[in-house]
Amino acid sequence: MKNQLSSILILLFGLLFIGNVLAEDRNRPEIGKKAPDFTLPDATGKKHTLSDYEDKFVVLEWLNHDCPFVVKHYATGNMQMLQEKYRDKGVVWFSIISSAPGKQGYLKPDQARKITREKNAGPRAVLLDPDGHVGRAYDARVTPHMYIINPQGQLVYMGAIDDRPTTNHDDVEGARNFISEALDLLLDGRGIEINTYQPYGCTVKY
Amino acid sequence: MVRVTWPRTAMIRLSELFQKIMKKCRFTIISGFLPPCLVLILAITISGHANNRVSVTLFPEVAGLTDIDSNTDTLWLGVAMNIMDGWHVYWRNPGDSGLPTTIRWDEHGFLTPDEIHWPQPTRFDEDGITTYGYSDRVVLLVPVNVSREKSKAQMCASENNTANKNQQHTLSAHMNWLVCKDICLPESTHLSLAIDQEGNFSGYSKTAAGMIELSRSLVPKNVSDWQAEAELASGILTITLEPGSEKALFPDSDDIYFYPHKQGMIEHTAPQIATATDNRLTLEIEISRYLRSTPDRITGVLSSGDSGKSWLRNRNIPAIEITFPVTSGANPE
Repeated sequence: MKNQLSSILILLFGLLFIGNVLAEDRNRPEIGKKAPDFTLPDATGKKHTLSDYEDKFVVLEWLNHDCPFVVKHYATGNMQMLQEKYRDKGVVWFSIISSAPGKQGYLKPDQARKITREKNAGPRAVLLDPDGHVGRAYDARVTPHMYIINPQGQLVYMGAIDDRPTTNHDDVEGARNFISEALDLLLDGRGIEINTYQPYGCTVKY
Repeated sequence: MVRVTWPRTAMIRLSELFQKIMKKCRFTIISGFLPPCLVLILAITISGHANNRVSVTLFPEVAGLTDIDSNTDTLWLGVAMNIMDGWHVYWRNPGDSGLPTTIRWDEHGFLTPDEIHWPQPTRFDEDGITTYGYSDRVVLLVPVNVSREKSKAQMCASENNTANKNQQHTLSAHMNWLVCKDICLPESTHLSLAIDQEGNFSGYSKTAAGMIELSRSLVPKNVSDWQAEAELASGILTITLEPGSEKALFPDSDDIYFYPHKQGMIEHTAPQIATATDNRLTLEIEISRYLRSTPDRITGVLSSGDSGKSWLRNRNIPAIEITFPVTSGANPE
């Protein structure tokens, strides 16, 4: 028994060491801290830099049009409705595709333009992140994974789009949508109640 | 970093069982005892959609209403999910992505199904994401409360009513799940358990009953032989386990892992650091950055992982269900 325990201990110290290395290696955007800056091309080739949009609220939406959780929000028109509603209120909305070439959801610029048109989507731009470096900087794990950045460039919301982690289209109606809830409060100059919520969706196909 | 398999022994036992079913079927076809096996084969073939990655079969543990244990008035149903190679379905807490399987039962005159009892899940690590679920094959268990009075009344009513003589008291449900490989697909099927006028269930066979029994042994039990409590400080949840009886045994494993029942409690991808001393075991787990406040209690499954080592002396219990109170510790920051 003693021997067993000491071997466990040795292994566990090993794990502890590995764990620390891994933990330090991980990017962790935090609420209230500066959101990682980035520059990415959109589907027309134009480059967008996050810090150019300081003075505005920015929404980042991780996107994969073939993911059933994303389909739920596009087929019902929910995502387009949010994009349009808050564009009219001066919010900058970026849809970011971090799928690697050959993986589900990856789109070449012309394909991205086409599908955006077909879905009648209205983000400021669809940003292409095929090497996934921006997705990893934000630790974006699923589609749709949502982030809101305030005019000071700080992250004020990260997580799920709403409180119904399903692929069922009927669940859009009646869901508590954290993006519209947060944006309404923020645009009204008020604090937000829910600034993080366990995100749901398909894994980002890095 | 972490290996992924579900306990080898369980996998082997399940596949052996399946082979046995097939063997038995061949034998009975030859010997003429065709009907029970035909039913089983038909059930497997019919259920689910042809294009699904998962085929689903529903079966009861006993043959009919009269066989139900009168002490518990509970009928156990098995819902077998046969999953296409390379794909997986999810546990009650799917982890970083995915979706738990759900069964929505239609209202029934005298049967009231309860929540799913989930066999011990396994961990899938891919691309900086950790999810919890099952590959290959899993049998979910559903206890169904049987109301004796109502069942008698309803069975008699239809017996006395010639028009309803052949009426079936079918219990039905809609089942949804997400199945993932490199991509994810939502799938669904209709489940039904027919009950004939004599109270016999559809889908019953001895092998099916055996599958339920095997699956029950894989569902982590709440044992009083281990006592647990936890402290949360600086983003780390430290669970302390102490033996609650003589039977408690430290599993000799370097792969101890805690699966919380609820999503968004812990950082699923983070390594969990177990430290054993003479009479206690501590497990340090990074908490989720999506956890907004300290929960009063956390429930989950504590597994000895790949080692399959038991948490109790003289018994094979590789996973236990634990619930522990959580206190907020001093934060040095």
